[in-house]
Amino acid sequence: MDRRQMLIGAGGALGLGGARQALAQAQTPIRFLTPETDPTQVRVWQAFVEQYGAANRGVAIRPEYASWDDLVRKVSADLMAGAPPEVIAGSSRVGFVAAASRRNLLMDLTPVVEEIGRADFHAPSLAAWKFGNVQAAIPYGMQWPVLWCRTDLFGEAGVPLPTTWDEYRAAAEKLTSPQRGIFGACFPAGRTWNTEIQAGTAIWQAGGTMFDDKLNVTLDTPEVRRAMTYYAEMCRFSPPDIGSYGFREASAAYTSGKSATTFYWGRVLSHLYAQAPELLPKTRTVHYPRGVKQAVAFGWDEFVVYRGRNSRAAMDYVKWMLQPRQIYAMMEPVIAHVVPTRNSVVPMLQQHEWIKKHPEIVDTLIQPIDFGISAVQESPSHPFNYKWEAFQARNIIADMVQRIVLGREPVALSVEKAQKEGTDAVKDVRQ
Amino acid sequence: MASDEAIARAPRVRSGVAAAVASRGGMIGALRDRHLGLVLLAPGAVTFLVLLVFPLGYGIYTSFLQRHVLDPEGVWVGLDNYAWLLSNREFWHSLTLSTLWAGATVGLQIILGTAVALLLHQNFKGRAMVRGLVLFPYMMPVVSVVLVWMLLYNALYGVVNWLLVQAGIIAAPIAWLSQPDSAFWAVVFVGVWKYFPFVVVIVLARLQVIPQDLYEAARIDGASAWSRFVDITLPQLRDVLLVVALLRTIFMFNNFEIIFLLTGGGPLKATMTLPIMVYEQAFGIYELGRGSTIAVVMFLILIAVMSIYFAFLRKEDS
Repeated sequence: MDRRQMLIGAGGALGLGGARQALAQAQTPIRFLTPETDPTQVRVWQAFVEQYGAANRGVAIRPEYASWDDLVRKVSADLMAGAPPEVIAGSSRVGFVAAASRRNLLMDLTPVVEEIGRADFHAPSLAAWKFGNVQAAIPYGMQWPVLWCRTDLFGEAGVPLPTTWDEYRAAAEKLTSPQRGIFGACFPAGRTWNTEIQAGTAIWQAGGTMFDDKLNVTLDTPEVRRAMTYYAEMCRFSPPDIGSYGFREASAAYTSGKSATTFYWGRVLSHLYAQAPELLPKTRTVHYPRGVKQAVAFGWDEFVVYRGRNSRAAMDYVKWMLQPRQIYAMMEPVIAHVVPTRNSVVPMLQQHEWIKKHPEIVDTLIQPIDFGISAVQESPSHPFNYKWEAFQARNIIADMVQRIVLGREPVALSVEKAQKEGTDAVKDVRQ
Repeated sequence: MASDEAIARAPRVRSGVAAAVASRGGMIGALRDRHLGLVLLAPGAVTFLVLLVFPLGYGIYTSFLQRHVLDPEGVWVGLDNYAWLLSNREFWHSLTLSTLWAGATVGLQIILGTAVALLLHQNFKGRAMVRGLVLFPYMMPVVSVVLVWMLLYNALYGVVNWLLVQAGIIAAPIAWLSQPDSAFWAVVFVGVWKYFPFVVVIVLARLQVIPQDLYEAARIDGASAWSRFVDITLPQLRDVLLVVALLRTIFMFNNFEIIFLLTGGGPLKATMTLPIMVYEQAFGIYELGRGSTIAVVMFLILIAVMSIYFAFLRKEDS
């Protein structure tokens, strides 16, 4: 190559680089934030970026990822900087989304629902994310956790899969063998969202609530004390480091074979396939063992669009992702983790190989339930709890659990403190 | 000799320039010359104002507001946030923890770093390779370090517990990061491990320029190895160690990521240092004004530490 050719080549490369930069500047950027970060899911998000980018040259999707426990904090920091991500997928934080909607920070997604066809959506799920006249989010999946059980260990111990608190307590005690490194239960006690969900569920199962129907905090009650006593007992049969357990650790305790049971959503199925396929034939799920009543935390994964320069383009992207083929692609890597809210996607889900192969695992995860409870509306007589976000942000429930389980504080005292903290946390919250 | 000539010529050169300016532009030329200085200073000044003065001023201003993350406008509350802070038990707990964290990590980093530097100052085979390896923890990204240590500390399948149980030191695995009693020191250990190479590098550099005559004279006088260390090495290292202590104290006092990623400030707030408390207030509870107040107080504490240090240095110099 002579000097002339080299110069031409360099000039061409510079020109190409400049053109690429110019193209990037001309494109409409859309930040897309999600906590759905299993490697298989990340591959789907990346594929979406490429497919949508190829079909829409003027738009550049920029994916970002955060953990479940940090997602809202990241959004808060971005809001402070005046630049929230345009699209969030799967925050599952109804209270935060409602607060953001009240402050007019979100786009109304009603037109997207109408264009897709309202009739194809699970109506109660859409209603759960509608605040006033604003469809603040569109849920694409609904979910509830179940109890994952090692049938071989239950068989060895000669105990049945539990259906009540008493049965579960007795089974966990028999299954726990620190010498073998096996623990009968896995009750999280980290300062995490998972701890709040599991402890909240125990409170509902004991017949208690966190708020009454006038939205006063109701933690200092016999029901909550009973729930926390049970929770603390079950922690004795849980792995020693539950004090830092969130979602990931609770799943890993089961897939690593160390915990004979764990509360988790359907995602564990894909984790078992990826990390411990030998445990699949030894696994079964049951609904949460009941206390005085049956209850479980009911939640959703949803799309939210924040207001900004590129919100319209972001809504188009959300509409594209809500098409059946895309929804199924999102769900396939973690099949049975959520149940689609679009009726037309449900048959596709049921055709999946894993779903057909493991009815003893997936039936509890995909068959409709009527005992799910959302923390933002604890009963049909409760109004939407606009105070929940302030309560949740202060980790009142997780702190209460930590004081009892790690700090060995008497249940009655800890519950009393939580009542005071909770009341303080929400006293200035106005609708 | 050449430089002497240059110095002698300098006034003549300057007067020559002045004459040229006067002849070309007179007053205007002189004005341009003065403005040129301002123009050259401007980028630095603007950078300083935008990147340092403005954020600091804005942070201080925010500390006088009650401001929710979702509300763009705040409410002026004067000194209320400061009154809240000073009467808040959690703040005093966090301040104590921060001081203990900075003191323990910096102290141990200096002791370990100096000891390792002294070892690496000796002649032995493979010294160059060992010197390179010692830098490894410092070069690794914090997130990787934390993930590795979380696995090592894990109570179910962590190597630390496995080794201790195998050695018969403990009977059952310890939940290092999940128990209030052990979490703080488990985090301190990672902080020391990650940053002691910084001390090694600085101390080793200083060790290499201590005159060998001092040691030879001491040996001739019959000084023991310990005496040589105490009477020669330590005094020679003193200034360097003071600078290292100051820099590390500022850095560790402000350190956020190690503690946040390992424990998030828990369990039971056993590792809730001030930077974690700032984050918790600002982005966990969404009280941006209160978060800023804690940050401002942290800033003032560090200013006080630096002032003491510089006052000490001035006294030494005089």
